[in-house]
Amino acid sequence: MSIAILNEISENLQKGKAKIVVELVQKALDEGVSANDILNEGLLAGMSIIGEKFKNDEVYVPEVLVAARAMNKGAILLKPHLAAAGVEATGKVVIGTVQGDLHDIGKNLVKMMLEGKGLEVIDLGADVAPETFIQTAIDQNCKVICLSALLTTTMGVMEDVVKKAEEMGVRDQLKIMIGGAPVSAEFCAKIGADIYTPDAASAADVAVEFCK
Amino acid sequence: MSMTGYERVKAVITGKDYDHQPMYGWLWGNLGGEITERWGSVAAFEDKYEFDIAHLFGGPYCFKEDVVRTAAPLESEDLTPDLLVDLPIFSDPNNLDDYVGFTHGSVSTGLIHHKQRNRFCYAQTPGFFENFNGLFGIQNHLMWLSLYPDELNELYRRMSDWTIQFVDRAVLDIGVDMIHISDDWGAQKDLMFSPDVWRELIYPHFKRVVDHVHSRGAFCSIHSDGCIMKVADGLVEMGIDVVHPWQERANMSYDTYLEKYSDKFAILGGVCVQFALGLMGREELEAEIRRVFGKLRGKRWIACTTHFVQNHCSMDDLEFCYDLMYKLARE
Ligand code: B12
Repeated sequence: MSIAILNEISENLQKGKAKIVVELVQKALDEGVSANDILNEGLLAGMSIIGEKFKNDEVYVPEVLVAARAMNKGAILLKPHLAAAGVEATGKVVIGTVQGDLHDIGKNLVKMMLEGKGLEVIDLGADVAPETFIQTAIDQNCKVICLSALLTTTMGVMEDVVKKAEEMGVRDQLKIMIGGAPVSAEFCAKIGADIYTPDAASAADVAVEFCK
Repeated sequence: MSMTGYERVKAVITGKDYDHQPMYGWLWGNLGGEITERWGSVAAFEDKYEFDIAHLFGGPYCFKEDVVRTAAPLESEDLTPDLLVDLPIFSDPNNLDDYVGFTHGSVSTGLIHHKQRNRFCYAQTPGFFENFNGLFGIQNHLMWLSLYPDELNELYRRMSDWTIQFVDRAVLDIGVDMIHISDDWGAQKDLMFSPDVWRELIYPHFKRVVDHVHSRGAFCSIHSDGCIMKVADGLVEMGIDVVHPWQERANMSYDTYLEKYSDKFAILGGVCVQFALGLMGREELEAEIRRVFGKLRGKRWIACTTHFVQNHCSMDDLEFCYDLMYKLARE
């Protein structure tokens, strides 16, 4: 019985049916399914499938956005139950679009995929200064910083973030991931960041590894 | 044969013979100040390099935002398409005072200035996706494509009514040669939304507008950044005359253009602002520009930047680039 409802949650999430997902999550809780199972086997399982499909060009940005929206609405219901049961996120990541750059759709997709893997994400938004990334990572105890840039005029700021981490003496405690339209693996190597991935789903897989 | 800019561009668009490659550039967006400092004005730069085209901005705005705001705040997740379908949200496109940006220039110089130089003049207006991004916010709009297709279809239909009247004013009263519809659909590797969504929601209304532009004796062009290869056949069906920028580095190969589309529409672009201009050293840039001319010269191509030249491009690099383009265009 519980497997059936978890599958239903996953399927409706994949279709972006937020209202139904919320109803099903409530129903599952009422039936005594654990919040952790609903999260992992229902919400995150569905989001993972959407992530794979996005990576393989089977779905597009809208489908990912509506699935993530459904996931978030369902997760709100679970939050108090997860906290009561002492369930913690599998890791903590800070993300943002670098200073001077307002493009944030890609960054938001990465954030959604990270959350879809059960990570806690601190989203600094767009146009974020290098020191803000590092200071937040230190203050919030994040192991990973994710930087997004869509402009050739702002890619250079990624290097400033790497340098800032060195300056502040925390480079070896942090993994710096980068991405966005003009960014490449060569650029990543050149500026001394840790990894570039071309899409949001792969980014989430790598971040999970880094958080272990 | 020696042609005016207007004749040259028209020949390129219609696939006729022309004397040399026409030239243009999206310049003023980021570097207007620097260009003015060096050459006196952006217009002086355009004259120096004998630009064949002019891009006119500053026409009417299609929404009554005060009416939209009665439904919900702009760009909020609460502003959903179903709340707008029955509201009178569209402005009146028939007030010629709203077109002075096109004639006299607001952000850049106007049609009167450019027609004195016999340039081909195109006027920009936002497309269905771009225009509603301004109301919903692009990310919400992307979601609404998935969640409110019927309501968006109706809103786009109403916008095509507006655009058709806009076309009449811009072409018949102002005298522009081409309507340029700006509607970013592409990300770096693929479309932002699916080709099916495009076919169902964008294509029918866009086609209606393109047909109307043609019925008024003008051309119609589209600007979409990014990879739009999956809808290129649809652009042909739509009857689009010019595509900007055909972003090669976003999976839009020139070979594919030449094989499949160069007898269908012209492209405006070629000088990549994402990987070349302002980014490459002189030698590499020269090789890159020569490569593009080697591929596209003599074809239905108007040499232009793929977007606004970015701030990291020095005035020396810009001059080097345009000196070379000017020379190659005339070889
Ligand atoms: C939408 C868009 C806009 C919107 C942005 C809206 C928003 N809220 O984000 C608006 C209209 C505001 C805009 C403005 C501008 N834009 Co713009 N824009 C685009 C466009 C069409 C799509 C970008 C997008 O959202 N893609 C969809 C997302 C999902 O893709 P993505 O961001 O690439 O993300 C994916 C991956 O890259 C990766 N990823 C992203 N971030 C990260 C981070 C990490 C850590 C990892 C691992 C992975 C990762 O995962 C994502 C999903 O798989 C691109 C075209 C293109 N070729 O990309 C131009 C583009 C980026 N823009 C461009 C330009 C020039 C501008 C402007 C500067 C215009 C100007 N005046 O010149 C302004 C800049 C404003 C500013 N200061 O930021 C140019 C940049 C050229 C250059 N030299 O860099 C482009 C490439 C267009 C072109 N023809 O050249 N733009």
